[in-house]
Amino acid sequence: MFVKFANPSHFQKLSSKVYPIAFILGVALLIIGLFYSFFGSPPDYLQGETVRIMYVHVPCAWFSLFVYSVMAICSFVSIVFKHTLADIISRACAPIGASFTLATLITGSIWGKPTWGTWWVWDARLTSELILFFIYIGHILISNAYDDIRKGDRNAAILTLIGIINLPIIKWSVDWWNTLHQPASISKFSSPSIDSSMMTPLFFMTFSFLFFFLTIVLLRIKSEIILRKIEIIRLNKAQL
Amino acid sequence: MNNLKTLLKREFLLAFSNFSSIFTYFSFFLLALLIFIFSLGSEVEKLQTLHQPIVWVIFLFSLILISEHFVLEDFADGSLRELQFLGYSGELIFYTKSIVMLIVVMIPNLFLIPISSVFFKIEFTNIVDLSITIILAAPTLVLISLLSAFFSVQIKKNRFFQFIIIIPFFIPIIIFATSPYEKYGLFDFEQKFFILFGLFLITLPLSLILGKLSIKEINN
Repeated sequence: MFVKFANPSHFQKLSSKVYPIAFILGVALLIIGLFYSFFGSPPDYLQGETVRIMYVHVPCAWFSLFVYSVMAICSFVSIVFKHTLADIISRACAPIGASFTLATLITGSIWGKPTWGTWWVWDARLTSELILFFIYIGHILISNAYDDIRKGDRNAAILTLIGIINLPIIKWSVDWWNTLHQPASISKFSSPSIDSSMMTPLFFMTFSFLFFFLTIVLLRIKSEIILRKIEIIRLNKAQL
Repeated sequence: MNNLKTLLKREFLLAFSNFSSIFTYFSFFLLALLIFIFSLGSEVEKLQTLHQPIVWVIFLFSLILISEHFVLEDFADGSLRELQFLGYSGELIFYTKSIVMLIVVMIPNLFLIPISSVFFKIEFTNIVDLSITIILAAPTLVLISLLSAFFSVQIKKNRFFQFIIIIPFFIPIIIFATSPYEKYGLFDFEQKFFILFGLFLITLPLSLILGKLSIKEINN
Protein backbone atom coordinates (compact mmCIF):
# COMPACT_ATOMS: atom_id res chain seq x y z
CA MET A 1 0.00 0.00 0.00
CA PHE A 2 2.83 2.38 0.95
CA VAL A 3 4.61 1.68 -2.33
CA LYS A 4 1.40 2.42 -4.24
CA PHE A 5 0.76 5.74 -2.51
CA ALA A 6 4.42 6.72 -2.63
CA ASN A 7 3.85 7.34 -6.32
CA PRO A 8 3.10 11.11 -6.61
CA SER A 9 0.16 10.55 -9.02
CA HIS A 10 -1.50 7.97 -6.76
CA PHE A 11 -0.86 10.18 -3.77
CA GLN A 12 -2.46 13.09 -5.58
CA LYS A 13 -5.62 11.05 -6.19
CA LEU A 14 -5.73 9.99 -2.55
CA SER A 15 -5.14 13.52 -1.29
CA SER A 16 -7.97 14.85 -3.49
CA LYS A 17 -10.33 12.53 -1.60
CA VAL A 18 -8.86 13.10 1.86
CA TYR A 19 -8.46 16.86 2.05
CA PRO A 20 -12.18 17.85 1.83
CA ILE A 21 -12.92 15.42 4.68
CA ALA A 22 -9.99 16.79 6.69
CA PHE A 23 -11.20 20.33 6.03
CA ILE A 24 -14.77 19.60 7.20
CA LEU A 25 -13.52 17.76 10.30
CA GLY A 26 -11.08 20.60 11.05
CA VAL A 27 -13.80 23.28 10.82
CA ALA A 28 -16.25 21.21 12.90
CA LEU A 29 -13.69 20.53 15.62
CA LEU A 30 -12.57 24.19 15.56
CA ILE A 31 -16.15 25.36 16.19
CA ILE A 32 -16.59 22.89 19.07
CA GLY A 33 -13.13 23.71 20.40
CA LEU A 34 -13.74 27.47 20.29
CA PHE A 35 -17.11 27.01 22.01
CA TYR A 36 -15.50 25.03 24.83
CA SER A 37 -12.55 27.44 24.97
CA PHE A 38 -14.75 30.51 25.46
CA PHE A 39 -17.86 29.18 27.19
CA GLY A 40 -17.27 25.59 28.34
CA SER A 41 -14.10 26.09 30.38
CA PRO A 42 -13.62 28.14 33.54
CA PRO A 43 -11.14 31.00 33.90
CA ASP A 44 -7.99 30.16 35.79
CA TYR A 45 -8.01 30.99 39.50
CA LEU A 46 -4.70 32.87 39.11
CA GLN A 47 -4.52 34.01 35.48
CA GLY A 48 -8.20 34.71 34.92
CA GLU A 49 -9.44 34.94 31.34
CA THR A 50 -5.95 35.14 29.84
CA VAL A 51 -5.56 31.40 30.28
CA ARG A 52 -7.77 30.94 27.19
CA ILE A 53 -4.75 31.82 25.01
CA MET A 54 -3.52 28.38 26.01
CA TYR A 55 -6.08 26.75 23.67
CA VAL A 56 -4.25 28.25 20.70
CA HIS A 57 -0.73 28.52 22.09
CA VAL A 58 -0.30 24.92 23.23
CA PRO A 59 -1.57 23.22 20.02
CA CYS A 60 0.58 25.61 17.96
CA ALA A 61 3.63 24.70 20.05
CA TRP A 62 2.92 20.96 19.73
CA PHE A 63 2.49 21.26 15.99
CA SER A 64 5.63 23.33 15.57
CA LEU A 65 7.49 20.27 16.87
CA PHE A 66 5.28 17.70 15.18
CA VAL A 67 5.65 19.27 11.73
CA TYR A 68 9.41 19.37 12.15
CA SER A 69 9.39 15.68 13.12
CA VAL A 70 7.41 14.91 9.96
CA MET A 71 9.96 16.88 7.94
CA ALA A 72 12.84 15.05 9.62
CA ILE A 73 11.31 11.64 8.78
CA CYS A 74 10.74 12.77 5.18
CA SER A 75 14.31 14.08 4.97
CA PHE A 76 15.62 10.75 6.18
CA VAL A 77 13.50 8.90 3.62
CA SER A 78 14.61 11.36 0.95
CA ILE A 79 18.31 10.87 1.70
CA VAL A 80 18.17 7.09 2.13
CA PHE A 81 15.63 6.12 -0.54
CA LYS A 82 15.90 9.25 -2.73
CA HIS A 83 12.13 9.49 -2.88
CA THR A 84 10.68 12.57 -4.59
CA LEU A 85 7.42 12.49 -2.61
CA ALA A 86 9.34 12.74 0.66
CA ASP A 87 11.04 15.89 -0.67
CA ILE A 88 7.69 17.30 -1.75
CA ILE A 89 6.10 16.62 1.66
CA SER A 90 9.05 18.19 3.43
CA ARG A 91 8.90 21.27 1.20
CA ALA A 92 5.13 21.53 1.74
CA CYS A 93 5.46 21.23 5.52
CA ALA A 94 8.15 23.89 6.07
CA PRO A 95 6.03 27.08 5.72
CA ILE A 96 3.23 25.52 7.77
CA GLY A 97 5.67 24.56 10.52
CA ALA A 98 7.18 28.04 10.41
CA SER A 99 3.68 29.54 10.76
CA PHE A 100 2.89 27.32 13.75
CA THR A 101 6.19 28.32 15.36
CA LEU A 102 5.58 32.00 14.72
CA ALA A 103 2.05 31.66 16.11
CA THR A 104 3.50 29.94 19.20
CA LEU A 105 5.94 32.79 19.74
CA ILE A 106 3.31 35.50 19.21
CA THR A 107 0.60 33.90 21.36
CA GLY A 108 3.21 33.07 24.00
CA SER A 109 4.30 36.67 24.01
CA ILE A 110 0.70 37.89 24.35
CA TRP A 111 0.19 35.42 27.21
CA GLY A 112 3.50 36.35 28.80
CA LYS A 113 2.74 40.06 29.20
CA PRO A 114 -0.13 39.71 31.72
CA THR A 115 1.28 36.64 33.49
CA TRP A 116 5.03 37.28 33.60
CA GLY A 117 4.86 41.05 33.14
CA THR A 118 6.96 41.01 29.99
CA TRP A 119 6.48 40.30 26.30
CA TRP A 120 9.73 38.37 25.99
CA VAL A 121 12.39 36.79 28.18
CA TRP A 122 15.53 34.98 27.07
CA ASP A 123 14.19 31.84 28.60
CA ALA A 124 15.47 28.44 27.41
CA ARG A 125 12.08 27.34 26.05
CA LEU A 126 11.43 30.62 24.24
CA THR A 127 14.93 30.83 22.82
CA SER A 128 14.93 27.24 21.57
CA GLU A 129 11.52 27.82 19.95
CA LEU A 130 12.92 30.95 18.27
CA ILE A 131 15.85 28.88 16.99
CA LEU A 132 13.35 26.39 15.57
CA PHE A 133 11.68 29.26 13.72
CA PHE A 134 15.02 30.27 12.18
CA ILE A 135 15.72 26.66 11.22
CA TYR A 136 12.37 26.59 9.40
CA ILE A 137 13.31 29.84 7.64
CA GLY A 138 16.68 28.33 6.71
CA HIS A 139 14.90 25.30 5.28
CA ILE A 140 12.57 27.44 3.17
CA LEU A 141 15.47 29.56 1.93
CA ILE A 142 17.74 26.64 1.12
CA SER A 143 15.07 24.65 -0.71
CA ASN A 144 14.36 27.65 -2.96
CA ALA A 145 17.93 28.86 -3.38
CA TYR A 146 19.13 26.50 -6.08
CA ASP A 147 18.29 26.57 -9.76
CA ASP A 148 17.90 22.80 -9.62
CA ILE A 149 14.89 21.94 -7.39
CA ARG A 150 16.27 18.49 -6.63
CA LYS A 151 19.51 19.97 -5.31
CA GLY A 152 17.56 22.37 -3.11
CA ASP A 153 15.51 19.51 -1.73
CA ARG A 154 18.55 17.39 -0.97
CA ASN A 155 20.39 20.20 0.83
CA ALA A 156 17.24 21.18 2.72
CA ALA A 157 16.92 17.54 3.84
CA ILE A 158 20.47 17.64 5.19
CA LEU A 159 19.73 20.89 7.04
CA THR A 160 16.55 19.41 8.53
CA LEU A 161 18.48 16.44 9.88
CA ILE A 162 21.02 18.72 11.54
CA GLY A 163 18.21 20.76 13.07
CA ILE A 164 16.60 17.74 14.68
CA ILE A 165 19.01 18.19 17.58
CA ASN A 166 16.94 21.21 18.59
CA LEU A 167 13.75 19.16 19.23
CA PRO A 168 14.87 17.44 22.48
CA ILE A 169 16.34 20.77 23.61
CA ILE A 170 12.91 22.43 23.19
CA LYS A 171 11.10 19.52 24.82
CA TRP A 172 13.28 19.22 27.91
CA SER A 173 14.51 22.81 28.18
CA VAL A 174 12.03 23.46 30.99
CA ASP A 175 13.48 20.52 32.95
CA TRP A 176 17.16 21.21 32.23
CA TRP A 177 17.15 24.92 33.07
CA ASN A 178 15.44 27.02 35.71
CA THR A 179 13.07 28.72 33.30
CA LEU A 180 10.22 31.17 33.65
CA HIS A 181 8.19 28.96 31.33
CA GLN A 182 6.18 26.37 33.20
CA PRO A 183 7.08 22.65 32.91
CA ALA A 184 4.91 20.28 30.84
CA SER A 185 1.37 19.95 32.21
CA ILE A 186 0.32 17.09 29.98
CA SER A 187 3.32 14.81 29.98
CA LYS A 188 1.14 11.79 30.85
CA PHE A 189 -2.46 11.45 29.70
CA SER A 190 -3.27 9.16 32.64
CA SER A 191 -2.45 11.83 35.24
CA PRO A 192 -2.20 15.29 33.66
CA SER A 193 -1.73 18.27 35.97
CA ILE A 194 -4.52 20.12 34.17
CA ASP A 195 -8.21 20.00 35.01
CA SER A 196 -10.50 18.01 32.69
CA SER A 197 -12.62 21.15 32.05
CA MET A 198 -9.54 22.71 30.45
CA MET A 199 -8.38 19.47 28.90
CA THR A 200 -11.56 19.10 26.77
CA PRO A 201 -11.20 22.34 24.72
CA LEU A 202 -7.48 21.70 24.42
CA PHE A 203 -8.21 18.25 23.02
CA PHE A 204 -10.70 19.61 20.45
CA MET A 205 -8.43 22.47 19.43
CA THR A 206 -5.47 20.12 19.00
CA PHE A 207 -7.41 17.81 16.70
CA SER A 208 -8.83 20.76 14.76
CA PHE A 209 -5.24 21.97 14.25
CA LEU A 210 -4.27 18.49 13.13
CA PHE A 211 -6.96 18.42 10.44
CA PHE A 212 -6.16 22.01 9.51
CA PHE A 213 -2.53 20.97 9.04
CA LEU A 214 -3.58 17.93 6.99
CA THR A 215 -5.76 20.07 4.72
CA ILE A 216 -3.09 22.68 4.06
CA VAL A 217 -0.29 20.18 3.61
CA LEU A 218 -2.29 18.06 1.17
CA LEU A 219 -3.19 21.13 -0.87
CA ARG A 220 0.43 22.26 -0.89
CA ILE A 221 1.63 18.79 -1.91
CA LYS A 222 -0.91 18.75 -4.71
CA SER A 223 0.20 22.11 -6.05
CA GLU A 224 3.87 21.14 -5.70
CA ILE A 225 3.32 17.97 -7.75
CA ILE A 226 1.56 20.01 -10.45
CA LEU A 227 4.40 22.56 -10.44
CA ARG A 228 6.96 19.81 -10.92
CA LYS A 229 4.98 18.27 -13.74
CA ILE A 230 4.84 21.67 -15.45
CA GLU A 231 8.60 22.02 -14.95
CA ILE A 232 9.22 18.61 -16.56
CA ILE A 233 6.98 19.50 -19.53
CA ARG A 234 8.80 22.84 -19.91
CA LEU A 235 12.20 21.13 -19.81
CA ASN A 236 11.11 18.52 -22.35
CA LYS A 237 9.85 21.25 -24.67
CA ALA A 238 13.09 23.18 -24.28
CA GLN A 239 15.09 20.07 -25.20
CA LEU A 240 13.04 19.62 -28.36
CA MET B 1 45.50 5.88 6.51
CA ASN B 2 47.65 6.83 3.54
CA ASN B 3 44.68 8.64 2.02
CA LEU B 4 44.26 10.64 5.21
CA LYS B 5 47.95 11.57 5.25
CA THR B 6 47.91 12.61 1.59
CA LEU B 7 44.79 14.71 1.97
CA LEU B 8 46.02 16.31 5.19
CA LYS B 9 49.30 17.19 3.48
CA ARG B 10 47.40 18.68 0.55
CA GLU B 11 45.14 20.77 2.76
CA PHE B 12 48.06 21.97 4.90
CA LEU B 13 50.06 22.96 1.83
CA LEU B 14 47.09 24.86 0.42
CA ALA B 15 46.31 26.60 3.70
CA PHE B 16 49.85 27.47 4.67
CA SER B 17 51.36 28.04 1.21
CA ASN B 18 51.26 31.82 1.61
CA PHE B 19 49.76 32.31 5.07
CA SER B 20 47.10 34.49 3.49
CA SER B 21 44.23 32.81 5.32
CA ILE B 22 45.91 33.23 8.72
CA PHE B 23 46.85 36.80 7.91
CA THR B 24 43.29 37.59 6.77
CA TYR B 25 41.86 36.02 9.93
CA PHE B 26 44.31 37.96 12.09
CA SER B 27 43.55 41.28 10.39
CA PHE B 28 39.79 40.76 10.47
CA PHE B 29 39.84 39.92 14.17
CA LEU B 30 41.93 42.95 15.10
CA LEU B 31 39.97 45.37 12.95
CA ALA B 32 36.66 44.09 14.29
CA LEU B 33 38.00 44.54 17.84
CA LEU B 34 38.95 48.11 17.02
CA ILE B 35 35.50 48.82 15.57
CA PHE B 36 33.89 47.61 18.78
CA ILE B 37 36.26 49.67 20.92
CA PHE B 38 35.68 52.83 18.89
CA SER B 39 31.92 52.38 18.85
CA LEU B 40 31.72 51.65 22.58
CA GLY B 41 34.04 54.41 23.69
CA SER B 42 37.05 54.11 25.92
CA GLU B 43 35.29 53.53 29.25
CA VAL B 44 37.28 50.71 30.80
CA GLU B 45 34.42 49.27 32.86
CA LYS B 46 32.09 49.03 29.87
CA LEU B 47 34.81 47.43 27.76
CA GLN B 48 35.62 44.89 30.46
CA THR B 49 31.99 43.82 30.80
CA LEU B 50 31.62 43.35 27.08
CA HIS B 51 34.97 41.69 26.39
CA GLN B 52 33.71 38.10 26.32
CA PRO B 53 30.63 38.64 24.08
CA ILE B 54 32.65 40.81 21.68
CA VAL B 55 35.37 38.18 21.29
CA TRP B 56 32.71 35.51 20.74
CA VAL B 57 30.87 37.54 18.10
CA ILE B 58 34.08 38.27 16.17
CA PHE B 59 35.18 34.65 16.50
CA LEU B 60 31.89 33.34 15.10
CA PHE B 61 31.79 35.81 12.22
CA SER B 62 35.38 35.13 11.28
CA LEU B 63 34.65 31.38 11.34
CA ILE B 64 31.79 31.80 8.91
CA LEU B 65 33.82 34.05 6.63
CA ILE B 66 36.90 31.85 6.59
CA SER B 67 35.01 28.58 6.11
CA GLU B 68 34.10 29.45 2.54
CA HIS B 69 37.79 29.89 1.73
CA PHE B 70 38.34 26.16 2.39
CA VAL B 71 35.63 25.08 -0.01
CA LEU B 72 35.34 27.74 -2.68
CA GLU B 73 38.71 27.24 -4.40
CA ASP B 74 38.35 23.46 -4.54
CA PHE B 75 34.82 23.85 -5.81
CA ALA B 76 35.72 26.44 -8.45
CA ASP B 77 38.71 24.61 -9.93
CA GLY B 78 37.00 21.22 -9.86
CA SER B 79 39.36 19.71 -7.27
CA LEU B 80 36.46 18.48 -5.15
CA ARG B 81 35.11 16.46 -8.04
CA GLU B 82 38.59 15.26 -8.96
CA LEU B 83 39.36 14.12 -5.41
CA GLN B 84 36.26 11.98 -5.40
CA PHE B 85 37.14 10.48 -8.76
CA LEU B 86 40.54 9.63 -7.33
CA GLY B 87 38.78 7.56 -4.68
CA TYR B 88 38.91 9.84 -1.64
CA SER B 89 35.71 9.48 0.32
CA GLY B 90 33.49 12.47 1.09
CA GLU B 91 33.92 11.90 4.85
CA LEU B 92 37.70 12.00 4.51
CA ILE B 93 37.64 15.21 2.48
CA PHE B 94 35.33 16.83 5.03
CA TYR B 95 37.36 15.50 7.96
CA THR B 96 40.72 16.76 6.66
CA LYS B 97 39.31 20.16 5.76
CA SER B 98 37.89 20.49 9.30
CA ILE B 99 41.22 19.60 10.92
CA VAL B 100 43.14 22.11 8.84
CA MET B 101 40.50 24.81 9.32
CA LEU B 102 40.59 24.23 13.07
CA ILE B 103 44.36 24.70 13.09
CA VAL B 104 44.17 27.80 10.89
CA VAL B 105 41.59 29.29 13.24
CA MET B 106 43.20 28.28 16.53
CA ILE B 107 46.78 29.41 15.84
CA PRO B 108 45.82 33.12 15.51
CA ASN B 109 43.51 32.80 18.52
CA LEU B 110 46.46 31.86 20.73
CA PHE B 111 47.74 35.39 20.14
CA LEU B 112 44.51 37.26 19.50
CA ILE B 113 42.72 36.48 22.77
CA PRO B 114 45.62 37.74 24.91
CA ILE B 115 45.93 40.80 22.66
CA SER B 116 42.21 41.48 23.08
CA SER B 117 42.62 41.28 26.85
CA VAL B 118 45.25 44.02 26.62
CA PHE B 119 42.91 46.23 24.54
CA PHE B 120 40.07 45.66 27.00
CA LYS B 121 42.30 45.91 30.07
CA ILE B 122 41.41 42.44 31.29
CA GLU B 123 43.60 40.57 33.78
CA PHE B 124 45.42 37.75 32.04
CA THR B 125 44.06 35.16 34.51
CA ASN B 126 40.49 36.17 33.64
CA ILE B 127 40.84 35.12 30.02
CA VAL B 128 41.61 31.50 30.88
CA ASP B 129 37.91 30.59 31.04
CA LEU B 130 37.25 32.32 27.72
CA SER B 131 40.21 30.63 26.06
CA ILE B 132 39.24 27.16 27.29
CA THR B 133 35.62 27.53 26.19
CA ILE B 134 36.72 28.78 22.76
CA ILE B 135 39.13 25.85 22.41
CA LEU B 136 36.39 23.40 23.41
CA ALA B 137 33.66 24.95 21.29
CA ALA B 138 35.84 25.56 18.23
CA PRO B 139 35.80 21.97 16.83
CA THR B 140 31.99 21.89 16.87
CA LEU B 141 31.74 25.36 15.37
CA VAL B 142 34.28 24.53 12.67
CA LEU B 143 32.33 21.42 11.66
CA ILE B 144 29.06 23.34 11.45
CA SER B 145 30.53 26.29 9.54
CA LEU B 146 32.30 24.03 7.08
CA LEU B 147 29.05 22.19 6.44
CA SER B 148 27.27 25.47 5.77
CA ALA B 149 30.10 26.48 3.43
CA PHE B 150 29.42 23.34 1.39
CA PHE B 151 25.77 24.38 1.17
CA SER B 152 26.34 27.98 0.23
CA VAL B 153 29.21 27.49 -2.20
CA GLN B 154 26.75 26.21 -4.78
CA ILE B 155 24.63 29.34 -4.53
CA LYS B 156 25.89 32.53 -6.04
CA LYS B 157 22.76 34.54 -5.38
CA ASN B 158 23.18 35.74 -1.84
CA ARG B 159 26.21 36.06 0.42
CA PHE B 160 24.03 36.42 3.51
CA PHE B 161 22.67 32.97 2.91
CA GLN B 162 25.39 31.17 4.83
CA PHE B 163 24.86 33.40 7.87
CA ILE B 164 21.12 32.70 7.90
CA ILE B 165 21.59 28.94 7.74
CA ILE B 166 24.39 28.71 10.23
CA ILE B 167 23.62 31.15 13.05
CA PRO B 168 20.65 29.18 14.50
CA PHE B 169 22.96 26.19 14.90
CA PHE B 170 25.61 28.27 16.64
CA ILE B 171 23.20 29.50 19.30
CA PRO B 172 23.07 26.36 21.53
CA ILE B 173 26.86 26.19 21.57
CA ILE B 174 27.15 29.88 22.40
CA ILE B 175 24.59 29.47 25.19
CA PHE B 176 26.57 26.69 26.81
CA ALA B 177 29.93 28.32 26.16
CA THR B 178 29.13 31.80 27.41
CA SER B 179 26.72 31.06 30.24
CA PRO B 180 28.26 32.06 33.56
CA TYR B 181 28.23 28.78 35.44
CA GLU B 182 27.42 30.35 38.84
CA LYS B 183 24.08 31.55 37.45
CA TYR B 184 22.67 28.10 36.88
CA GLY B 185 22.41 25.75 39.80
CA LEU B 186 22.41 22.87 37.36
CA PHE B 187 25.82 23.43 35.82
CA ASP B 188 29.11 23.77 37.54
CA PHE B 189 32.39 24.69 35.90
CA GLU B 190 33.29 21.13 34.86
CA GLN B 191 29.82 20.29 33.57
CA LYS B 192 29.92 23.26 31.21
CA PHE B 193 33.03 21.84 29.58
CA PHE B 194 31.60 18.31 29.51
CA ILE B 195 28.51 19.66 27.74
CA LEU B 196 30.66 21.40 25.12
CA PHE B 197 32.63 18.22 24.61
CA GLY B 198 29.37 16.25 24.43
CA LEU B 199 28.05 18.62 21.76
CA PHE B 200 31.23 18.00 19.77
CA LEU B 201 30.76 14.23 20.06
CA ILE B 202 27.20 14.58 18.74
CA THR B 203 28.20 16.95 15.94
CA LEU B 204 31.23 14.97 14.72
CA PRO B 205 29.52 11.83 13.33
CA LEU B 206 26.48 13.80 12.19
CA SER B 207 28.52 16.37 10.29
CA LEU B 208 30.75 13.70 8.72
CA ILE B 209 27.72 11.90 7.28
CA LEU B 210 26.02 15.11 6.19
CA GLY B 211 29.29 16.56 4.90
CA LYS B 212 29.73 13.50 2.73
CA LEU B 213 26.19 13.93 1.40
CA SER B 214 26.70 17.60 0.59
CA ILE B 215 30.01 16.91 -1.17
CA LYS B 216 28.18 14.28 -3.20
CA GLU B 217 25.50 16.83 -4.03
CA ILE B 218 28.09 19.34 -5.21
CA ASN B 219 29.47 16.79 -7.64
CA ASN B 220 26.08 15.74 -8.98
